[in-house]
Amino acid sequence: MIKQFRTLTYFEWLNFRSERSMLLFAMLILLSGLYGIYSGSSLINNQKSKLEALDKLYQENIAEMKQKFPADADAGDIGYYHSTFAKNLPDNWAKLSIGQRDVAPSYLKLRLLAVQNQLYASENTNPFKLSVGSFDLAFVFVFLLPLFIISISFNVLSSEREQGTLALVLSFPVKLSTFLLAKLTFRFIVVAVIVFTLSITGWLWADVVIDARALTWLMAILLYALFWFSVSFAIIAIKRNSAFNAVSLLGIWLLLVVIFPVLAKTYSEVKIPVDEGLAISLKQRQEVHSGWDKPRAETMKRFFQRYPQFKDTTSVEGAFKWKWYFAFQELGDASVESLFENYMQKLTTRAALSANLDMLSPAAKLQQTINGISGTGFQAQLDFLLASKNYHERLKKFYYPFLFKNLPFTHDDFASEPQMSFRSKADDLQIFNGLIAMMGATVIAILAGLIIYKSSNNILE
Amino acid sequence: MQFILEAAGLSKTYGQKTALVSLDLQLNKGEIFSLLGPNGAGKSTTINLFLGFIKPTSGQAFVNGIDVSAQPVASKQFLAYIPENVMLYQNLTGRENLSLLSSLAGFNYAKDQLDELLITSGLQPDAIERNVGGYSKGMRQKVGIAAAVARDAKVLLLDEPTSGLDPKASNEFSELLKGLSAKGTTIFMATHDIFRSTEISNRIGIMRNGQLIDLLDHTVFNASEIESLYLDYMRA
Repeated sequence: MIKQFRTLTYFEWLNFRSERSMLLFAMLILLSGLYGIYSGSSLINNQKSKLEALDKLYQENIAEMKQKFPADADAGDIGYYHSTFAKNLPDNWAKLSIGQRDVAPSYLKLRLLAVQNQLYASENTNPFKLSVGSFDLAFVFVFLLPLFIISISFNVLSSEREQGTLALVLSFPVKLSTFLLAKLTFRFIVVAVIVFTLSITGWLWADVVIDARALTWLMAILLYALFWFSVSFAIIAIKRNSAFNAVSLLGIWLLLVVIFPVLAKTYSEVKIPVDEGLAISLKQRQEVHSGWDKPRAETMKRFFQRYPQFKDTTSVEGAFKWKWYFAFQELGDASVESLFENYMQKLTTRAALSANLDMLSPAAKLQQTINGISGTGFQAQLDFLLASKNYHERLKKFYYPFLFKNLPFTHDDFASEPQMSFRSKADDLQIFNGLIAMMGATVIAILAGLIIYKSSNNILE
Repeated sequence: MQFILEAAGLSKTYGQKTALVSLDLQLNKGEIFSLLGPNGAGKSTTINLFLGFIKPTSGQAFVNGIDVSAQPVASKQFLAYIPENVMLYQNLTGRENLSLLSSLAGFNYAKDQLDELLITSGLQPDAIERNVGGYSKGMRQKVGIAAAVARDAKVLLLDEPTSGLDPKASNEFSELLKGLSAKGTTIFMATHDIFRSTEISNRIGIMRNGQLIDLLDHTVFNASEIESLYLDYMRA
């Protein structure tokens, strides 16, 4: 049987070599993959260029401050006019799987003012472009690879029957199962070669650090390919004609790759509505603006409850005082703290619900897995948001003593200002869950295929 | 005595339709047997049952004493099948097709041996390295014969082998079959071709509506008598 298997696989290669349509499909998927690598790399390189330019902007801003305040300055002036950046640095892996990086900000410009209205500011992006999504290598693997697998496997038995070669082959001492397995195995090898070629090209092009993530990346994509071969096998096992197989497999592709993920996202958004975003903006804005009209003593009393270490600061009555201004900025943030916690909690819960529903779609699971590997998933963006908020806390911790202890802010003090560069890590839990879900789906598809194969009619009957 | 090919009460029905009714038949080594009958008589069903492509409703088919239903793969070791229209892998050459088919039967031949098998089976040497996509029906049939010879088949099952062949090709084909028979290969041929079957067969079975209605021995009846009998049965 092993000898027959080898023989059949070798002759599949001879057939493949001279089959123009199969070669054309293989070339198309390779070219799409190369374009995906180029496109993803361009987007991330663009973000990297912008992030690198931030250092220059930052230094220019400091130079501007020094010019504006030639002598020692009031820290309030610096806190108001000076800005710094929370940088969301991409790993090179992001070039292969952009994930949320095209919709989420790659940096935030922060001042000492209330942080809540600064956390959600990002550059304007063409919404049409966002709705279409970015073309990266992950897109090629998640969306196009299954179509390639379907195109080379849907008719492996039916075309042999339709051309009359199946009867000839089965008149030899060969089992139909051996024949089918050899054909699907050969095609899996073709797909594996394409996956390896594109992945290695992508790694070299994107200059990624090749570590355990590379192995996980290959494992996830090959598992996904195996899932689609298993689905093809389940449909082939019905032993109907080529048209039936093609329509059925395309229907399954549409369902698993497009419809299920959209339904899962829509359901989770309806089930867990997150209205806190707007509420945070309104409440925080209202609190900050009403700060101008409230008695200064009352504002400072509430502020000192949060920062008792500064209660001995000088009075804020009389002329405008920055410490009073920053106190009601602080109280603006404090007024939405619980809302912000709810907001983050709901986003996390909703993402978890969506991820659970995505168990029905190996396509969504592969996307989450390789986003997890590349650190470009939704959780990475939430982590960046929290890290930015923490960075603002560090800024306050740095500036508040100058402000409330009436210490002069010298030019040299700029050098001590906290800096922040966030780099997301691989999301191990998401990767693990994705691999398990895809393994489960593959096992189910193989079992379904075996049951159908055993119970369906004799193919030559 | 063990027959090389045997049907014992072999029947096949598809729902309400009866394709073959209790066929009892035994073939000896080196015998050429023709099964004559109109379309739908059950000739191809009989071949498909011997090949194990379909399962009998009742009865058994044996190849070299092996029950086809019980051991379908083992029984095929002794069989070679040449359908009415031999379909090969069009993107492969004649030699590559023969190499594939003989390898499937467990025979690995060198290039020269494959070429010799093809030439002996009547294929022109210049066609050996051409893709079979450009072959005529007769040329494909010759590759089929070469495959049967290459696998050292004890039984050759032929389904309408001369249909669509020109007289010259048909004559060459008959000579090939006679040669194989002389070497001990048993030939079972389902056909409409009374002339060709009476020319080469030892025995002829006449089939109608799934039933074997007569079995004629060529040593007893001459060709014209068989032809006359067959036509009488078909008119009845």
